[in-house]
Amino acid sequence: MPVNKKGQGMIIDIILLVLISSIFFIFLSSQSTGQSMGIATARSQSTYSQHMLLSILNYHNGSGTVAELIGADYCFENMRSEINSSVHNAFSSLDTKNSYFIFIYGNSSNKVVYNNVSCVKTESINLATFNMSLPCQDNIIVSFGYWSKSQKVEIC
Amino acid sequence: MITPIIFIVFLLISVAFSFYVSDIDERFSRGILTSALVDKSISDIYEKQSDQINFVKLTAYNCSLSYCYPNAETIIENCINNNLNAKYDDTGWYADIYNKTGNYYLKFRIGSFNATSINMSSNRVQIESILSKDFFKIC
Repeated sequence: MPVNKKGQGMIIDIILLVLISSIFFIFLSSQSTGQSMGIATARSQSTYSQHMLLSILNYHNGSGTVAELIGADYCFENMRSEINSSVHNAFSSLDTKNSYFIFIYGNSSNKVVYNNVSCVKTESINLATFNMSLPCQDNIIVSFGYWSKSQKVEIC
Repeated sequence: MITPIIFIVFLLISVAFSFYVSDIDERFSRGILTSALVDKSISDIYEKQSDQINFVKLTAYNCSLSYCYPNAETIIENCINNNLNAKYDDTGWYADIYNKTGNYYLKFRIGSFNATSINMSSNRVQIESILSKDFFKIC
């Protein structure tokens, strides 16, 4: 059956329309997927570290939670080895690498309470903080951070 | 072969796409901001609750250093309540220490906390927590 030139033109128009619409549809779909992925990533990054720090502080290892050990160490007596051991166990249970550390900023002293060092010169990355009230009329800031694996930690 | 129909359709799609793209950044930013604010508020409340629970327990340990449990049970409970009243605005604190199957427990009700970022608050929750034998001194 013979097809005139006008008919051929319309068929090509329709094919072009379908092609262009498909390209736009694919592009817009990829944009919306990227948007939801972006929100999910931002959400997980902002809360993951804070939840990890709170999980460590609430970790119970025989004599009390890590938060209680830290508070008792600050107010009552030296509990450094118990804290170190508890935090180590907490990290092990969370299946993390040992490049993390817990640091305490207090009014009277600043201490690293995990990773067997009392003072570090290496620049670290702070992930989360926890402001802790103590009954001995003091407040401490428990800081959770890490050194990158490739970094050599320099101890004072 | 671009005919007038194709040209018009292409133009319409381009205009619609331009409107969509001009709004996508704003909607994306609003989405991130909202989810970040909700997450921050939940974290804030959770932190305040954890901090208060730790404070009450550490206060119990601190009070047991000055008074002897169980002989001075009421005095220790009053000591905890007085410390909580002095530390927090909320009044009507009560602390109850009791012995259950050889372990010492502290029962108290934590306060209600408001989030700073958005209008969100937590309920008062009753906490029952075991006291560490290493810190809570017994007669």
